[in-house]
Amino acid sequence: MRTSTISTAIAMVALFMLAACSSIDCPLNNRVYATFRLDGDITKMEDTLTVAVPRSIDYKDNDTVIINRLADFDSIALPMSYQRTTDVYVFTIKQKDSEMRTTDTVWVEKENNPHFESVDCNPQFFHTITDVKFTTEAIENITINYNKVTYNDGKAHFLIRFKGHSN
Amino acid sequence: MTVKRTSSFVSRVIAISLLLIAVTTVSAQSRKEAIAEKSAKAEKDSVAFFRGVAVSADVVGLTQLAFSDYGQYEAALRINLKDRYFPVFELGYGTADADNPTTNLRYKTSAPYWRVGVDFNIAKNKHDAYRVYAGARYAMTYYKFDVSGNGLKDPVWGDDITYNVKGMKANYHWMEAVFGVDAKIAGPFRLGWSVRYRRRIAHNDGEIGNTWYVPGYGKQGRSRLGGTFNIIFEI
Repeated sequence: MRTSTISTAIAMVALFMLAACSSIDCPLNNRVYATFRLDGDITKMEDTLTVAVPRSIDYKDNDTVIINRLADFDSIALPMSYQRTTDVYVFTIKQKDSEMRTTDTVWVEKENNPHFESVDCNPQFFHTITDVKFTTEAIENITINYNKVTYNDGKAHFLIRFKGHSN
Repeated sequence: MTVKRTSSFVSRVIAISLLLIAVTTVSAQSRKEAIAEKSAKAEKDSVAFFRGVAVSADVVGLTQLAFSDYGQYEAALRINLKDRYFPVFELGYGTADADNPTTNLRYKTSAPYWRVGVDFNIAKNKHDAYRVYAGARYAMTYYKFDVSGNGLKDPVWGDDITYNVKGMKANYHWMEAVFGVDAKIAGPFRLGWSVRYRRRIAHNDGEIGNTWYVPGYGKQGRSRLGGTFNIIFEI
């Protein structure tokens, strides 16, 4: 009888603990970005870079700036669209010395895979990059370095080389 | 006179010592006899190997179903061997239909699961109306789940998003350590509860990341503790 009472007490405590242990474990780093790293020996880009993307026709503005006048960088991270098969990025480079502006367009082709953590976490899409195309006003070359894009990648997805730099 | 006193003292000591030895021997002998009697009684306490069958239903899973987005129907079959060993088979059907208005996501699944294992009655008197169990289970489930999202928008591009995954296959294998009690209420009717500690041993979450609710296991990422409250009919 005494054993049963003690057991009941233990069970009650355990059940209260059980009821108290509820948490939402969404990843803190929950945006899926494609990273571009400077290729070659150069460690910093001194020119200023602005990147814009064209938006849905539902929006009043045609495009949105996702990087604004960034300088002294060695890599950049750009958000990828959830479901478009081709993401278009417009790179505007303003040279440090001459202040001359040059614009290039980059097309990234990809496959989109839905990713799910919990009903309490925002939906995500991971991507597999299949191809990259670009104009060559200021950009010399872009190569795919790692084609899986998630929110936890250790590698840069693209290696980018700009004209007029020794990188 | 001194010699006489000394010899009388010595003889008294010898006599007392002999008496003590005799008393100790008698008491040891009586103890041995008592132990022998007990062991003879224990030998007489032989019970049939097969003592009966119990069928039970869990109330906790039903309560979860009534008050939350998920839960399970669960029944168990337990065999009583010598009032000490209780092989158990548990069969259940877990279901979830949950949505979150903040994320606009909905998760649905329904699938059976089963557990198999054995409980040991660790109570001092194993024939008592109360039983205290310690045991273990191996459990598994193969299930499919759907995840859908409505009214989702790409936060940068502003596109309307279709998020619809149907029939994603997944499976789960886990072990449970069980501690529980039950008691005879009236006739074949018993009530009992158990606390369980779960440990995943193998799993496949499908191809889209995680599963939210696993039939029989519960929500992923929550406490590894679980419990049952059982209504039992023992024949």
